[in-house]
Amino acid sequence: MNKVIFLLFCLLWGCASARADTTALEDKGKQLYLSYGCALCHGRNGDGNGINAQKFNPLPTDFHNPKAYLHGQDRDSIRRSIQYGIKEDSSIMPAFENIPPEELDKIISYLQSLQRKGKR
Amino acid sequence: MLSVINKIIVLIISFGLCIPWAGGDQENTPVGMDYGVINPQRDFTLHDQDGKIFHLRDHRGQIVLLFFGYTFCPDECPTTLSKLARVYALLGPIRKKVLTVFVTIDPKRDTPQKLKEYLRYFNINAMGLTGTKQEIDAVVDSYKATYEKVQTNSSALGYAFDHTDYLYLIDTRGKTSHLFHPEDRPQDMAQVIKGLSSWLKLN
Repeated sequence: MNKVIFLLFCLLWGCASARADTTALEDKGKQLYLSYGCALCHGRNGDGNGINAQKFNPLPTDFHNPKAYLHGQDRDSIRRSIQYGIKEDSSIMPAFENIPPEELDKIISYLQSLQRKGKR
Repeated sequence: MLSVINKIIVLIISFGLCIPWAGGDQENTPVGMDYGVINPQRDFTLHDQDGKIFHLRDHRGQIVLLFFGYTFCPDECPTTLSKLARVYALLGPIRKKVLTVFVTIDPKRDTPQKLKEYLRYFNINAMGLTGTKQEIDAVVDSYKATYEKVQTNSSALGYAFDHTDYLYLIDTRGKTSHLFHPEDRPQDMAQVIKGLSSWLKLN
């Protein structure tokens, strides 16, 4: 019985710890997102309504809306869009090729967390 | 589009990038190249984002990174400022001695308030400057920069600019000591700025 309780405790502890790590990663990702000026077009909360958003047609991606990821919503697709930019279908997303890979990973984690939360 | 002559001038000047720092005395530029052709008076005056008069000479204790751009810019300006955010992160403690000066080439749309709000989106120590078209053109000319208005297909954007996308590294005496090119990597830029800071004994 004690063993079962101990195992359950470990499992819960592990889940809580993993969740805390994920949250920390996403928080760091948000800091980087704000630091690199992504919010200029995509908005401070990632909903695609930054101060420059209205200049573009189509509007910048709302990261809460999975359907708005026109070039793919998986990690690799998002990475490609940021690193190489998008210039097709009148979209203008410049290439942000100077963000280090480890920071890019955190930004992508943040964007995917918005995706999971969905449109508020 | 940069004019051919201006492009040649900038290329000749930027040849200095290939020459290693010679460790010259305080009177000479550390890059071993005479940048005297760029803004030889080492000063200019415009209005800052708070509506105050900005004189470059009032910032003699700082290293200045000068950039000409506009807030409606869909590509070069945001990517350059984003890259600068990385450069500042790499600078460490000396970041507070490095001021990015963003001179708008679109004073019609870039109000001081707009400039201030725009620059807040990047984690850099920046100041937006504006003025009349004539005042701005005088500064642009003094740095051998160029810009040209172009019509775009985007009705929302209205018009855009082709513009010089170099970053001018200006030392604490107001002298241009380096030109950063769009393809320069943040780590190399940070290294050059740290080298200048060390040479100027700013640390």
